[in-house]
Amino acid sequence: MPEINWLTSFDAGLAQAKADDKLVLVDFFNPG
Amino acid sequence: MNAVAFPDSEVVDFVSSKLIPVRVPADDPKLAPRYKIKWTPTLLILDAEGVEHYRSLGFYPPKDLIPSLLMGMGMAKYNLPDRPAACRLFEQILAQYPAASLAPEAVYLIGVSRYIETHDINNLIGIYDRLAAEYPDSPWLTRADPYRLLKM
Repeated sequence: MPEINWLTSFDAGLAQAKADDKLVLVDFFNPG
Repeated sequence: MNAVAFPDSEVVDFVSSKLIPVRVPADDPKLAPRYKIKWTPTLLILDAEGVEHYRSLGFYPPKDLIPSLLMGMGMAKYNLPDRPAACRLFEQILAQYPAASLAPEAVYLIGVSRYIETHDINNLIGIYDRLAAEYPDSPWLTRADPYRLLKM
């Protein structure tokens, strides 16, 4: 089963987006 | 969302190659208020500064999720503004996912983007004509109805 390698650090995601010149997809999920 | 669209291999390939995917619990004490998260799933497209360019709420099947992501990527370009790049992303929705629920909105945004760039009203008339021909039942046709009058 293919999977997306989700980052769990928001700030790390922004930094990666800046480094890769990409946009960020944020999935706000229900923790319950 | 995970149970519906994210396991799809086309979605995995798209997200992995085009975006930086981040998962945040909806009760995050800092980010939930910042982005006014009130329901899940909520997907946001942000730039590297954390500025929101697109939001989708609710579950998407795979055939609609990629068009939604393309729409978000297109809106980020539209807002820069890099409207030619935005049009390329909106056109991708129409070329690859013409039956997607967001396709009529893509038609509208292509015409608007081109009008802003050129000030040629034929781009606005073209919105109406294309929606009437290809998506006659879409609410976006109603939104484009005034452009029909530009023909007169």
